[in-house]
Amino acid sequence: MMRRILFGSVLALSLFAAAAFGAQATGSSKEPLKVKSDTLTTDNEKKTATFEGKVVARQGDMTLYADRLVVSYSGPGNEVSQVEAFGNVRIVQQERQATGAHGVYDPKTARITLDGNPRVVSGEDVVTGKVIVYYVNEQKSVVTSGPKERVEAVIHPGGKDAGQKR
Amino acid sequence: MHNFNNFKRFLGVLAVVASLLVIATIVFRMQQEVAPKLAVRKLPVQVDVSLQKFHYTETKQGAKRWELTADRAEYNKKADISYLTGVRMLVHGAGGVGDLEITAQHAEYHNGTRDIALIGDVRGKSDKGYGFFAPRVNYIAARTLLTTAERVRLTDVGSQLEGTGMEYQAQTRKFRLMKDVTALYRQEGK
Repeated sequence: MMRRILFGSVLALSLFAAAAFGAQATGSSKEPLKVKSDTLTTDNEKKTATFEGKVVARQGDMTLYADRLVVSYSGPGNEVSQVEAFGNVRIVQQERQATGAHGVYDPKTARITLDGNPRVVSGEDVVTGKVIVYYVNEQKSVVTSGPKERVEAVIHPGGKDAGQKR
Repeated sequence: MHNFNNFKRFLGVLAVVASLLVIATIVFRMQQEVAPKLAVRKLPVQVDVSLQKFHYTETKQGAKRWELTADRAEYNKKADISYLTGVRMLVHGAGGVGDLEITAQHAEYHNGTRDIALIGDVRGKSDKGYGFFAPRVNYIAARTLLTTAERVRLTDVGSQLEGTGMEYQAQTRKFRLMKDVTALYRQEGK
């Protein structure tokens, strides 16, 4: 039976899917980042690489799909400092899937901030809000509401993950 | 008396024979000692001038833009193309981006446009640590642009990129891979 929960606070934080997504850290932010796309434009002055067209980025067990991806790098080792995704952003990690119009990935904190109708889906459970912060290693999401958009979650307690430790 | 005359005749004959032998030996030696033929490589029909150790420097407003050196250059006047072998091109970058050295097995230098077709095992290497590899790259002098339609591989500190087709701005080092791009970024030295 489906249960709908509406959170009332203006800036509500919802910790979502600890059970649904598991709690083991994967350490995927240390893994190499592999990107495939139609085209690539780089700017050595700005230290950016812009991938466009059917972009697929993989790091560890996480896969990100987008129309456009801008990789920023810095330091003597040219380490990736930020990955910004634009258009039809979809992140898949195991059974968890997050979507939005725009996303920013910070490899140092292993955190993805999604906006533009962000939505996290795990099985039949769904959470939406104004901004969703997706913690890659901890496999959890924090959903933030906006002044006009409240956090909305649809959780199926009787789902296959029900009863797991939260 | 008769004997003395015979002896004189004998000496005369001997002197003539000896002289003939000396002349024959000299002629024979001269024929044997003909100067060796010079080993001049015959130029192909379409080559008008052939040079060893070719070097060309392109300057703009007194500043070196790029330099082209080759082990051998053969110039075809009709086509106005120099065919180079053992090629090294040095592109001087603007704004502190450093120099870019490109090597290739062969090149065709178009004297009119100053465009260069670099052919065979083309490798670019910058003094900032990145490089590229492609089987063929064209340099368009008017736009200081390196282009190729071939598969190209680029390496930099911490990353490796591949794609088909490239436009590489030689002065600023900005580049674009045209299709089928794959990239690998190593994290924290991994």
